[in-house]
Amino acid sequence: MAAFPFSAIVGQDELKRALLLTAVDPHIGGVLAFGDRGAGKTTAIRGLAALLPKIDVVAGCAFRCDPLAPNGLCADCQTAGKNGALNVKKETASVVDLPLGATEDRVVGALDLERALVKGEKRFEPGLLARAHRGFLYIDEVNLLDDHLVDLLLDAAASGENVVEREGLSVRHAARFVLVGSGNPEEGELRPQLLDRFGLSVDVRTPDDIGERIEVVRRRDAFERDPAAFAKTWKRKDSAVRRKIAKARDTLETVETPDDVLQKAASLCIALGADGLRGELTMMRAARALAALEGRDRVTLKELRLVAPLALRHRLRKDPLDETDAGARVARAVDEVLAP
Amino acid sequence: MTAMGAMPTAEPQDGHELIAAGERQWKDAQMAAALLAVDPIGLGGVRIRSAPGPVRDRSAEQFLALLPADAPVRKLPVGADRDRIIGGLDLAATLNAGRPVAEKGLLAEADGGVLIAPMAERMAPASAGLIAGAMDAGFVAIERSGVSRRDETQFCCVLYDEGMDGLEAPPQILLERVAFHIDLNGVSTRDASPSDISAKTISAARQRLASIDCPDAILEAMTSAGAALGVHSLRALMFAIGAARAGAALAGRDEVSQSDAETACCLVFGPRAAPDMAPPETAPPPDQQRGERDEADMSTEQGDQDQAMEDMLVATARAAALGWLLEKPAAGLRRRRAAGAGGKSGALVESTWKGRPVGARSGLPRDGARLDLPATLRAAAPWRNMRGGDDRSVHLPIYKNDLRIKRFKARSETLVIFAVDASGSSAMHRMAEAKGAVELLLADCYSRRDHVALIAFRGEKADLLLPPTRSLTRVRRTLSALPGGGGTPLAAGIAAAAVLAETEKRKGKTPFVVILSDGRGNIALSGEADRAAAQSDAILAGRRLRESGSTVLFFDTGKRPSPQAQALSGALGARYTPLPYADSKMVSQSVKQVIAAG
Repeated sequence: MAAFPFSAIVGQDELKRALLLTAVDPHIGGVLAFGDRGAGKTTAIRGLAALLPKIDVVAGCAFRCDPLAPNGLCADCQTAGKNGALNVKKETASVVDLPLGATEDRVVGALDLERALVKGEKRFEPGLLARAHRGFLYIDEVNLLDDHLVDLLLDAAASGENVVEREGLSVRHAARFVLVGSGNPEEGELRPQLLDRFGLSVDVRTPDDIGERIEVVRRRDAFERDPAAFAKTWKRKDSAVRRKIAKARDTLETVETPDDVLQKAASLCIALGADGLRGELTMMRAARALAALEGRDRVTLKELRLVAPLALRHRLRKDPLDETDAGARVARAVDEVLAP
Repeated sequence: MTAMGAMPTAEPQDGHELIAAGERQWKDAQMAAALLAVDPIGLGGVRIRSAPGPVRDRSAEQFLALLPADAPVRKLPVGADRDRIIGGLDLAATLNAGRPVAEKGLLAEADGGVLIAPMAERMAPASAGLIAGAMDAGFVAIERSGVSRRDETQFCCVLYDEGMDGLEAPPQILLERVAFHIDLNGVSTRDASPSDISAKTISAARQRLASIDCPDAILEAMTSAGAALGVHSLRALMFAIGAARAGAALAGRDEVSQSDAETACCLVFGPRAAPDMAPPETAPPPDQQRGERDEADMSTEQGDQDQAMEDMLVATARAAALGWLLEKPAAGLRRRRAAGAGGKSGALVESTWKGRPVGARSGLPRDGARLDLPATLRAAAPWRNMRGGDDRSVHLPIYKNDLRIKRFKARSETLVIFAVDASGSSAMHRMAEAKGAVELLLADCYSRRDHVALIAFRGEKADLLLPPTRSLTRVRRTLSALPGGGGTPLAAGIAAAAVLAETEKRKGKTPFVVILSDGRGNIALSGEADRAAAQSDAILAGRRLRESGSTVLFFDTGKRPSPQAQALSGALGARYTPLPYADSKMVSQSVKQVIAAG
């Protein structure tokens, strides 16, 4: 089944923006899309998968090593690298699904059973974390994920590598991925430690506007009746987005962040009492990625304004008796602190 | 279901003759079955609320008869484990072949056909998540135990909802993904007439389905009607349009007509309509939306026609909603349940072998312990060459000490049931504190495995205001407006807590019951205002709760500790705490301590 084109998604600007930002700068640290059922969370992520630019990988490497980062190479590639230049090929960055029913050994990798059985050979079979390296790891219904899997993810996401010590195997490989989780808060809240791992969070709402709803239904309908023809109609717009991402990736390092913007960001975090430095760092990274995406060479308050709710919404200290929506609290602080 | 006898027949709408409720329910079920048979995948499936019995069986038979003869039908056993649902390692084949051989799961086997889930109201959230994931993606991904594969599958999901009294319902995540919600409770076998639609008609309609157009005016009217009925989900809207299209195909039309749209709105929006949107006299069509429509560049005349159509759709769907609204959860825990009817369905969950697997340890698969095949093979594999030499005819020698058994960790989820006295003048205050305590418990990160539920008793009965949840969002939404005042049906409140505690215990949770009351009941279980009977009933209900084995905390909210409250607390075997000044922090603290003490 073909994916619904990313650029054909009606509304959901925050969600689309958050996903694009992590596509530009994976260090932002993932997106959590929490909200209404049937509002198109999964659709957006599948759509994004279809338009990620290709990346350079070492040909034949099971861990998709980056030939341009000699420090992060796996053991095999290091050996190969010493014996001459590595073969490089272009590959599409992957969006790997972590199904709810996954077992630990498939997530981190385990002894290759077939090899072991047929040849009596001890060999590591990479798991989902290896496959998601340099791409996206997507967990639908992330709030229903088993605790022991959450622990594995937290560990890998924090260290950027996957360490396997089991069945006599001792393997260590890089596992840097953008964690994308979606879910409905009515099924259960997310564990705070995991919540903190997500760089950005989006509050997804079903549109109330009748016009917008009609447009959603129309496009969805057209897509379901003839996915191929529909994809063709949107191909150009999708390619434009893909080029935008690729260009932003190239220019990201050159985007400047003026001191006054940094100061405003700091005062915003203080005003909100957002825990720790993570929020501030994420916010600045996201603002820079947004500036790159829009073709600017420096971050302005405009970008800050747009990314602040994404970066801070889930980091506010929770007062259980305060029912004000966290997004609204951020918006209020943004208005106060960033007033011109 | 006790409420059914009282269900009034909905007001006859234009074009509908007055027919009995049971007959109409059956007709709706038949219509839903026909539409679903035309587009089984696109419409997702159906939830059938009914006790098991001949009526439900006949309904299922009629539906299955409309499907292609080769469509597989798979039944999801209650409590099926993940390996069976999504697939895993085929033990026999693996040993035979000497390499891991994957086995398809039920979801993959149901490809192109139907998955029937009996007792869907008891389905574990994890299983529901797997099914929903497969329905969304169109495939099942198996990532477990040395097997990594992907099976394409598309199926139609039939959820049998045997929940009673609104205490239990199938997981929301699945209810959201099936187009139709059908109620067969109260339908007698006499109502269950044969179907006049043949499989041939359906098959012809299925061929036509792709070419059916849906005119913009109808699309817009249906969108507005959905919004006017408070049906928020876009998925429901897509289902309604899909159902209308299937209806047009069934009738042999080239495009969706207004009557197709009406039928679809009835079946899809009706059961989903928001409570405050449904009673015809209290919900005028929202003017605001109409205002927006007028701004659109359609001509006034056209606009009027569209508005008329929208109104028509809303009216018909509302009529269909009536039956469901009476049945909405929190309609009250009936006295019948308090008399001791519980405990007949399902045995207590054994926790020695059930729960989530947490790995393997060496041991023999006996006494109910289950063999962990991959782990066993892994243990044996490295020794292969030493043990079997180069003889390739011996696949893999397995010695006794290679055997590994699965370790399970039973879920230690707790459920805190608040039973709150919402009667009398101080009700609002008490309820507010209870709500605060619920929120504090949930917000505390250490207690994220805790579920909470809230029962309020006042007037003549007890209501389950908040079914077990661990979602703060849901608590806020549900408890934003709390009822209060009236008599004190203390016994009904305690009985309701006992029933809920038993139900949840059977699902493997550990219930704790927190009662906030001054212990002065004045409404007996019979509903009569008789203080003496009320008190003895309360003690009786208290014993029942005690027998359920739950830990009970009794907070005496009276101005000074009362002997009645202490007597009741004794009958409950409860920890008694006087709490003259209600305080949510103190309540949540005490509960946490008790949970921590186990």
